[in-house]
Amino acid sequence: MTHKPRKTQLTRRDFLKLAGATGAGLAASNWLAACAAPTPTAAPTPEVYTGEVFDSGGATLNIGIWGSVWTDFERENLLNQFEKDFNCKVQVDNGPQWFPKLVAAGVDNPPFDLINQNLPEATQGADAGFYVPVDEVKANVPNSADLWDFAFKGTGLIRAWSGLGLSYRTDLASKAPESWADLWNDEFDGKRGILTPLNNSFTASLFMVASKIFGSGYEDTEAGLKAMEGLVPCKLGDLSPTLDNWLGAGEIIIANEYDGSAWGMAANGASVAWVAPKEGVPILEQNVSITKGSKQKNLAYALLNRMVSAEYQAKLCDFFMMRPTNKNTQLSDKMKAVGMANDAEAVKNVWIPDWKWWNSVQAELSEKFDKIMQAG
Amino acid sequence: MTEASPNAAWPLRQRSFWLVAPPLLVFVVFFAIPVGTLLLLSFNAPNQATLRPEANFALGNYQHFFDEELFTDALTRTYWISLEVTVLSLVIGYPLSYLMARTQSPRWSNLLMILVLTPLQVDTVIRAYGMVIIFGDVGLVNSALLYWQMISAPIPLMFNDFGVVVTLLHVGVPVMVLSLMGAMQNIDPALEEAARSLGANRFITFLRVTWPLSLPGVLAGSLLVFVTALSSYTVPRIAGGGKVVTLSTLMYNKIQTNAEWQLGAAVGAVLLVTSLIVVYFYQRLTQRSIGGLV
Amino acid sequence: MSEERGLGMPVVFRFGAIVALSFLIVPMLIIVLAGLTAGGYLKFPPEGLSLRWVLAFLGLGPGSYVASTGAAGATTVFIRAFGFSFLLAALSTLASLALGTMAALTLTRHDFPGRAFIQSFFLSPLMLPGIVIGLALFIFYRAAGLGLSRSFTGLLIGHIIICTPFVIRTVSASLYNFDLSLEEAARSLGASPLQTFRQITLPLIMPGITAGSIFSFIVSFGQFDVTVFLAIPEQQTLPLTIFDHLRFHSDPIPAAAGIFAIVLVIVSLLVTARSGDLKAFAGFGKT
Repeated sequence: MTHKPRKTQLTRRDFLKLAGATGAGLAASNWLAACAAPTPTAAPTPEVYTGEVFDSGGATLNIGIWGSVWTDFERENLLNQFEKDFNCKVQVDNGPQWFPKLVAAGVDNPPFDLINQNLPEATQGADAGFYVPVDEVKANVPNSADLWDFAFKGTGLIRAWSGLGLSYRTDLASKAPESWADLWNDEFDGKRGILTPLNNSFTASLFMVASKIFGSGYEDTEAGLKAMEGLVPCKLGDLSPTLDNWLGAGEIIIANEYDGSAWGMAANGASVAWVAPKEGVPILEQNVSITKGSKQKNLAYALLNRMVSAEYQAKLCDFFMMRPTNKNTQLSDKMKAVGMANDAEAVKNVWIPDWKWWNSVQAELSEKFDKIMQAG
Repeated sequence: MTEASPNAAWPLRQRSFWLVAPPLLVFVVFFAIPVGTLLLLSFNAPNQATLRPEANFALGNYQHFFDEELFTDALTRTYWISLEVTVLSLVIGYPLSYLMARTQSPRWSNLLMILVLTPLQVDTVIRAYGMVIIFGDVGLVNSALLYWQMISAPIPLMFNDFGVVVTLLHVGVPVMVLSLMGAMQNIDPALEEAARSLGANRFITFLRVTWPLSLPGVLAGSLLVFVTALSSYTVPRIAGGGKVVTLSTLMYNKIQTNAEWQLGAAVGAVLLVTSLIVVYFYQRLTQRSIGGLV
Repeated sequence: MSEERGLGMPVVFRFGAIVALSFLIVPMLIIVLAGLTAGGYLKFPPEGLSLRWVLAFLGLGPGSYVASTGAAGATTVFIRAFGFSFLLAALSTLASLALGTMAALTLTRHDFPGRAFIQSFFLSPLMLPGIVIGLALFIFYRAAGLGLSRSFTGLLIGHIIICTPFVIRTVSASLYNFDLSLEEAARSLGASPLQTFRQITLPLIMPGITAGSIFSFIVSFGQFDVTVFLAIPEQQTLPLTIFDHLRFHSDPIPAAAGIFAIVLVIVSLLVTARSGDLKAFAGFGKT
């Protein structure tokens, strides 16, 4: 017996049920989300921030900083107190990339007010028009008067830096390297480590230094690419601790690393030392930018003001073994013991590349770099 | 709608047709529309400042893709690796799955289940690090071979295609085993018994009875392993050490570090379209040999 | 081992199964042992055995880093992240099971034009790396203005999109050649569709449901790339926490996380196996 289904009636009813359910669901989640979202406060009037403590009325400041230890340290030594003093809430986004989120949200409605980045990524943000220009930041952060000149060569204020050089195994290398060119020595074939992809402070600086040493200048990209070919065979790491791991295990003997990591490994008993090559030391910078579309600019400037103060820099740099950018920062004994100094002599050779130029060529160079590195 | 069975007249069956509507709606709203919009970027010229598709239409990114060796090599490499992982997962996982399905003792089958699931419990990153410990130049395998003087220099087993395939297998095999389990269990041992009693040896029995009946599980497992391998990023990154360029690692570089959204979108579009085509035809083909709907 | 077992299994299968098991287990053993090292680095063989890193992971022992006060401090960030990931995975799994089963039911019972395309469509979230889906959803949430950006719901939706394809596949495999007359018999006896589903269909497709929920849970728990974009402030998932940790340390904490997860699975499987054997519970056995 065939039973003719009353198909049409069921279908329409089902559709209505479905539409109703979807609508209700969307409305419910919207309502729930609105309940959870913080009430926005009005944008502050655009006056120059002069360093005073003020009540922000419960505003939320969204910042981007590195995660794990870094966030824990800044929370305990800076952010918790800041929240109390300014009656605000600081929400932290640990990235590790912030630029895509900035672009996704648009200039006028940024998800962050303040971001701590390295310059390759920060320059992308500045070039795309997302950040407050350096001069305006300088004018709104009173403590910036105490910073070394190179602190203004980024996209906001540079609040700390590390030296980029060569870390090596003292027991496995034939002798201590002195020049950047030593990275290319035959004894390190297959046993040298660099970071990939190309567009990070480490490898980009290495590329430019190689262009200068083996070519006619920092912008001689042809020479730089040829130099990269000479690095093969090598090992490519994704993060600095990976390189450290390999260095410790002996998978590599020499690496393009920053000073702090080698000091940390040596303090833990590893036979690792760091060398500042004679041709010059590029820096790994902690560059802080303020977003143009931020609705909490004064609050952001206030936080940045504290970040670049001599006292806070002393704490931060001592903990992470970085170098300060504030002229008045007192170095601890631990820092002096590894040879750090905070005077005009120490900072005169700090070299900041033309990241704006680099940003215009990095995409094409990255592809060529990937192709070269595939081979070995 | 085809009336495939005498049950087609019942309201229950008609209603079950619309069960697909809620998941379809969710997928259209929260996947097709967002991802489709993002992939539309692939038709725009490079522009670091925006992630919204613009009105100007150009094929420059696709031209770049097919002109550059880096990209076309990545395309072939991605599919080649995924195919290897899928086939090997099947070859390695099938006997294990069969054994597990036929194990009568609860204690053994519990143990086997636990053992098969453990690789999936561990974070991908640490799993990859573990593989480096085993297969790296100063890793266990090379150290052992060097110690026994079977080789004079370390064999490169990591930071290349081999390392990536081996590491991907560590996800592929458990996925394949789990996918096969249900189908294996549904194979009535009486059928195998009957074949054997008619004089077929073990191998023929497998070929003519076991294998065809396990096909739904094989289909599910191979599809899941294939697409997982295809889109994997962490494994080629860590186990490949930056030297194994797949479409996923390319996409990551373009989007995360180079801020080349438009080109990255083109890579994504190529990956999505090619894999949709492959999966679609694979399904049609296996549908035919399986017979029922699955 | 009786003769009835494995009649369709060539002898080479037993060997293959052993090879497969060793392949899966040996690296796990190494990771477990490396996580039990008393030393400070992740390497094998470990420098002595100790539970220090597992305790550090649980927030019970000295932390893996020196807190800013200068003294070794414990941190509960990992165990809290574990709990959050667990909750997120559980909810993703429930939702994916519901949506996935619905889709599988339709797809395996009706042959309509475009069926193969819809099937491929449902599988397509797995064809793209997480960064594409994460970024696309982030843009979508911000543009839609429903407050989904950086919300738990938004994050959950992202996970559901990734997990449901697994459920659809495994449940579809289970529904193959499903005998509809069983359902029809129940209906003719007066059972409602829901009753029929719960008491007739569901028990028979249990293997697919179980496999699907295992996949969904594991995929959601270990999900990284989508989560990076959809993460909510102040509450990280475990993979994000581990990744952040790895930016600063090369210690065995991530291996300790793995040890904890494995132990948890073993304990929960053994506990549930107390009430009958695991296979029957999972529906893999025919009663």
